[in-house]
Amino acid sequence: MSSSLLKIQNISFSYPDGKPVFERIDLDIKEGTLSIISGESGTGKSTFLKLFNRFHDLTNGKILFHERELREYQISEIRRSILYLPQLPHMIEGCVEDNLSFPFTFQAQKDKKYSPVKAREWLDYFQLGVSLSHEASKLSVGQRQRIALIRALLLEPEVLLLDEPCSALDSRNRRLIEQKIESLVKSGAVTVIMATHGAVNFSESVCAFFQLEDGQLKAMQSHSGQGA
Amino acid sequence: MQSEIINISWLNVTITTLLIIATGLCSLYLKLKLEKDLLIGTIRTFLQLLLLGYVLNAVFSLRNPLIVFLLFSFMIFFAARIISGRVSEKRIPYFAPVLASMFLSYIVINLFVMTVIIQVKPWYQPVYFIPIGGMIIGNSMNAIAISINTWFNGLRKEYDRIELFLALGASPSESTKENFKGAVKSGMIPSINALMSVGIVSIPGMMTGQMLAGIDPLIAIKYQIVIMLLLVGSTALSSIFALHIVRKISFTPNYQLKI
Repeated sequence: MSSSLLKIQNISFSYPDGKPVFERIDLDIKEGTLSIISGESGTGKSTFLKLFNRFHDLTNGKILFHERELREYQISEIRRSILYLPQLPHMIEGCVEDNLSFPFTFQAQKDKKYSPVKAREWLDYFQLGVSLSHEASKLSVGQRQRIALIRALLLEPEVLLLDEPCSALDSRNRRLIEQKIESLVKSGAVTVIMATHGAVNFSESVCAFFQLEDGQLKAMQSHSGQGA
Repeated sequence: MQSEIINISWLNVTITTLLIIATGLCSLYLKLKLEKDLLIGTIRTFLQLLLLGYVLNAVFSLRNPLIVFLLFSFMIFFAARIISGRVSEKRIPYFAPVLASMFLSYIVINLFVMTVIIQVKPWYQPVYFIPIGGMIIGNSMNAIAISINTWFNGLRKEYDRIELFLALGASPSESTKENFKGAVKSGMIPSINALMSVGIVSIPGMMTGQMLAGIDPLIAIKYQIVIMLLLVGSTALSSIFALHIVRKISFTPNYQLKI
């Protein structure tokens, strides 16, 4: 039985204008699990994910990470352990390698080392068909989305917050990503919380499904998507 | 060459308004609707400069360091007000920090010029302190306004990129390194351009004024060189200082972008 990694206790969140987004949510996320948060567009899935890396601060309640309140951690510790991958795959100027290696220059990630060998392995696995020296501006949206995911995976965070990571991908590439995420989770390498409004294809043995609706998070038996 | 200064009579000063009347007629003819602004602007020019003349006369004759300091502070406060009028940012309260940074950098720079370069005794001699301080404020005020505007526009334009950098572990300064450089540069460009063109495209105002007052052009040139270099330095120092503070207040302590 894996131990509890993230405990969400009675959390509420409202925007600065007072509009409530979530109210009194409780959730227990075990280490090495995959949690799928689904819901219509605009229900606050991205906002929910951003509570874990402290892009947003809770209005009420608390989140415990390794049994310690998230607020007690240094912000750099949180960002290096809990990585949020935004839906828009932003690329910086330069080649694919520049895009994969730049986070390693940040002070918070300084003890991690960029590995071109690993980067090439990921490029091959996701069948991107581009080399590390390929100009990033010439990548398609689907390729960018996969490069952005590789960038996050190379940093080897404990928790990966994925915001619609397959939205620009065809079914074959989506499947490749889903298989990789599933195997990483099964191996205990990472814990994943993934927001999606489309159908996903994960085995139910590793996956917990939740529906975000009217500010409440409801556990579901399985997930068939919300009409991608 | 020290010539006697010609004092323009008030009648002749008033005659210059003929040019404004001519401009007003052009405006009427071309339907530019500038007549009202021209009239108000002309009256304000007369009143504001007359007031300035009397204030300077009093300050110059009093030679009181406290009064010099108060007048200088008043000038800085109004410069900060002008900056806040030009910068459209509403969410981040930058006025007080920018005012404080302007105040500190201008005092340091002006003291340096007074005591080290010109070696005025006493250092607060208003006839030097106020006009040179005014030039420093006027020039770097524009630079700060341009820099801050460029900074905030950059944050909005690059919101997604900055948020991505923060998510990947960057600190606010790491995620906005290029924005910061771009903002400083954009504020600096006018003063660097002025360095390039001074004496070729235009004879600077201070030098013109000194020469009209009968000062030897070679002395006026020395003053002008000091002023030109001083303006570049003060522009850089004050805008970098102000931007540092603005960058700090653009993020929460938890590295969240406030915009």
